[in-house]
Amino acid sequence: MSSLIELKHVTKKYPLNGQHVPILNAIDLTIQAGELIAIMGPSGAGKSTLMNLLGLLDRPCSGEYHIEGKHIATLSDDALATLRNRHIGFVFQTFCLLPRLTALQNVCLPLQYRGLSAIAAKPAGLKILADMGLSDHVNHYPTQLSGGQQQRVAIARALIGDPKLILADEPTGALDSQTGQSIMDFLIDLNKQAKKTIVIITHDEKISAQCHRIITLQDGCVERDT
Amino acid sequence: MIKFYLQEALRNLLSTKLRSLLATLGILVGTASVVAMVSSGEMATQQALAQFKRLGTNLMAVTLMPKRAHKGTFFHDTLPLASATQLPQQLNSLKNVAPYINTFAHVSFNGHPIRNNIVGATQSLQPLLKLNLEKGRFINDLDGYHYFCVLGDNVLQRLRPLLGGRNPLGQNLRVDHAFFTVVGILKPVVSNVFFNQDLNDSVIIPLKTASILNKYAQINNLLLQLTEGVNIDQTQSLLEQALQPAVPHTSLYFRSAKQLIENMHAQSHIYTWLLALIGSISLLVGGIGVMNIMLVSVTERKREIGIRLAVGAKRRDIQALFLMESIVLTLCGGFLGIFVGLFITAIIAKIAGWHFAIFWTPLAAGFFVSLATGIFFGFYPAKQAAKLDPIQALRTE
Repeated sequence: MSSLIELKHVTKKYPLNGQHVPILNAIDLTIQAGELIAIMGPSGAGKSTLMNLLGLLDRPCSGEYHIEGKHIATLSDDALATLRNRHIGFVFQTFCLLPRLTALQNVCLPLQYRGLSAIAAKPAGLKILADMGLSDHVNHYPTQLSGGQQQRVAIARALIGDPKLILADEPTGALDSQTGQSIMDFLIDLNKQAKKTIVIITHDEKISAQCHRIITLQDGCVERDT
Repeated sequence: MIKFYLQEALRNLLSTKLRSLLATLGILVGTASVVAMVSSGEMATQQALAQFKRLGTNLMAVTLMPKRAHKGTFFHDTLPLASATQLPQQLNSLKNVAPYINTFAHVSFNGHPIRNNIVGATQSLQPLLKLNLEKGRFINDLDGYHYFCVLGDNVLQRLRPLLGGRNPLGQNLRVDHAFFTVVGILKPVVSNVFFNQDLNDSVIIPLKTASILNKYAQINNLLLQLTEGVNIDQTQSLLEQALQPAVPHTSLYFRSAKQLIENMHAQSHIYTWLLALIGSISLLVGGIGVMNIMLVSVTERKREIGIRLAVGAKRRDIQALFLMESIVLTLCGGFLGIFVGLFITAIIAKIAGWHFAIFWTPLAAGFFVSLATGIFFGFYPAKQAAKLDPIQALRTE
């Protein structure tokens, strides 16, 4: 089986006080389809930057990034947007739901950016919200939902496009431990049943302990990969 | 996709109702002022043209001005009446002619001065100027050198208190040293550019009688009715050839309805454009207001833009979303502005006493200009939104 993601000598620098400070330093990383990975490391180690690169929100300064065999340096911004839309689902610490949209409208958004009408996208949205146990909350606005419910809406939104890769940035960070664990259980289940590749950024060792592979970053380099 | 953008745009605009309303109001005022100004300009033009239309567009006026001989003295040509009245027989392009004399004399009744304007006319003046009589009859060519007169409406008003209820017809007015019998009273006349005198203020007497009133009184104007569809310039030069030999020391000045209408159209075009420009200034201000609102909106919604990019929106989707919002704002303002503009036009028409009419050009202009304003002033904020770095945008609180 070919690898889903391959990073070769990927470097990312950011300008700071006129100098280019490396955030990621020549990282080599391969992720196979179906893996459940935790990325750990102290603040400033480059976790978020790595996640943005993996999620195609950013491009590396040097090195190569292949996703499903596609070399992203050769792709346009629009092509990256399409890849994000079809193959990647994001789950954020702060949920990142659009406040003016209902749970259903939020969930259907990725399909609408594929060109589906609201009516065409609705059945899929209702089904996935039902799978998340939110059938009674489809017309609620984010402010009317609890943190755990909001995160489940966000996961539903990440899943609706049937992506291969789920990127979760501290998905339990804003939740109490019990709710956090239920979200975590859901992600593990998703990995087992639906064979989704899941990458979780976390500080929490209890979370990382439940993953098959833990990558620890330190100063922009992979310190440990187990 | 357009429907999706439209739904999203409406949702966003409705979530900031007051702000959207104020931005719309700016465009509304701008569009209304464009529509009202241009419509009023058109109405004024129509009104001005109406007087020509009433008399027909085939009138031509010729004014005869003696040339200067020496310092302070002028040549003294006299156009014989026959030369003028024979013109229609000479030239196919003429249907009718009304030569007349403009002069001044002391007019009084029982020793009370009245008005001084004297017009010496032939009977053909009546059909050419479409004059209506209140009482009596108009000057007739059979009047010859008789001392008859027809009074304009204002002259009658001056005369009336002096009459003490008597019928003005048959009364005798003193003009210089002779007495003239009143044979007719004119209904009020709408003034027009083809006749050099206000007939309401005039005492009209037979042309021949006028020519012997004093030595300066001679035919100094011709009013001509042209055959339909003749060439104006050609007719003018034919007239010059016909008239000039009789009066070699006189300059001839021509005015034709067609030329006047053309000039007036050209002038009113400039005038209308000027009004449209003034109206557009307020639309410009409204447009800047929309741009301001959109820029604020982009700044406030950075995070939303980031989220949309993360779930797979392309940059052009983001641009379309914001552009759609500004277009919806300006179109709403434009539509309402057209109605308000028409309302203002109706009020202006009412106050000015003009005939209210709906012109399609200003409406279409109002609509398209507001649409263009939306696109123009929405473009920059939308471009800014589309250019945002998704990571920066997502990080915004």
